[in-house]
Amino acid sequence: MNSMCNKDNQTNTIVTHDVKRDNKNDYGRTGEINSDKKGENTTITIIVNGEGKTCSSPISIDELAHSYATHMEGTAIAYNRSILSKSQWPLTHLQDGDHIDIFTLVAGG
Amino acid sequence: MLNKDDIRRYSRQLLLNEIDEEGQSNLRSAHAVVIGLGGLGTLASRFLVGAGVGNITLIDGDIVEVSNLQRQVTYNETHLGDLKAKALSNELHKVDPSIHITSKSLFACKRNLQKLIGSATCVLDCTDSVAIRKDINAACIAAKKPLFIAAASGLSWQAINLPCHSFLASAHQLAPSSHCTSENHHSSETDYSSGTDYSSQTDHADHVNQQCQPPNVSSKVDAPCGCYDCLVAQLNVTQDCRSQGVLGPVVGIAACHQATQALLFLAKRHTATIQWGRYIVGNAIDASVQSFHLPPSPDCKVCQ
Ligand SMILES: [Zn+2]
Repeated sequence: MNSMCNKDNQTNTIVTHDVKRDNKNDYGRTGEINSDKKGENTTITIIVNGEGKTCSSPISIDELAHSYATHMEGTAIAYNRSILSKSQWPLTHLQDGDHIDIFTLVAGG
Repeated sequence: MLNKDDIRRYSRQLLLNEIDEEGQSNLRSAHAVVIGLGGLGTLASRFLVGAGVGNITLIDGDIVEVSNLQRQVTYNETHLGDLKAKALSNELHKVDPSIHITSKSLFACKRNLQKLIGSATCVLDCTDSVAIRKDINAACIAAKKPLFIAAASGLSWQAINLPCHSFLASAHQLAPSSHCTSENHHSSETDYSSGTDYSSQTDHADHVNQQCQPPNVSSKVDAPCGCYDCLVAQLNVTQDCRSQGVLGPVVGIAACHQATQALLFLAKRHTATIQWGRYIVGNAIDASVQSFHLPPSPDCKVCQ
């Protein structure tokens, strides 16, 4: 269990609920996530560790990570199948359809 | 050229296109340096010896303890208190006395790594802490040695093959004139096509493959990849076997993967179809294996 991030529903304030596959979601991927000036509740669908999730946008990878991992030590993140340096987490905003994999690095042998 | 004994001994793997006779000769002339002789190193080195890697250096300053026997499969109760490098070397010698095994009962560190890996065709990182793994990574980049990393903790195993020099540089080195199999090389240890009687080879491993530097690395690096430091620099990795525990066969899976990758590389070098720069994450509970590209981190102090 310690290999993958636990999804702790108690601390999961950003990810709202599992996405049903028939959920109609027509938000484009062209980055209007910061244009929510009228206070409309923009939601996006992302895939986290293989499961569909909806969350409010804008949301950075850093924010998502903290909503998922109970402690961040050794937590690594792959963004669309490519590992993302931690310094990029706060600078990278999720878009509809993004794949995120959160896992814990191990070093034992 | 393989002799009759070789053909009998390696008959099962000679049938594979990824090995065949040419690959078997390449294995014989190769030098693998295995750092860390615990759950990963004992098993990986056993497979390297079994497959006919001609020169192997075993490095670890530790001794065998009873808590090791659960996962460090080459040791048994008769080895308790013995130096791991010596104990493992003795056991592997029983598998194939013709393999040249050098045992170093010392801990690898920044100061000695350059010398330890100087003549390696590749390095296997089988250690158990991020600090030494970072030193090995830096040493392999400085010496342009392909590095095969594996790790395990709890029920998770992870691994990555790092070419340790830039893809563009390796593309230039793929020109036939720089390849080790050049027929102009008559020094027996790097001449894969010579009729050397490998079983009588006694030269010290330090002389092996000197003419093959830098090694030719597969063209299967599809995008520039980062290094171990790019992966861990900003993270505080605490997951090791001591703090998190580990199940023996999970380390075994990691070691088997690592040995497989190293053997495929050593057999076919630049034409091996293994993947470089992809971080493998295996979960032993649901038997899932995922792989992720590891890009270079722009602010990496080691590889950039
Ligand atoms: Zn790097």
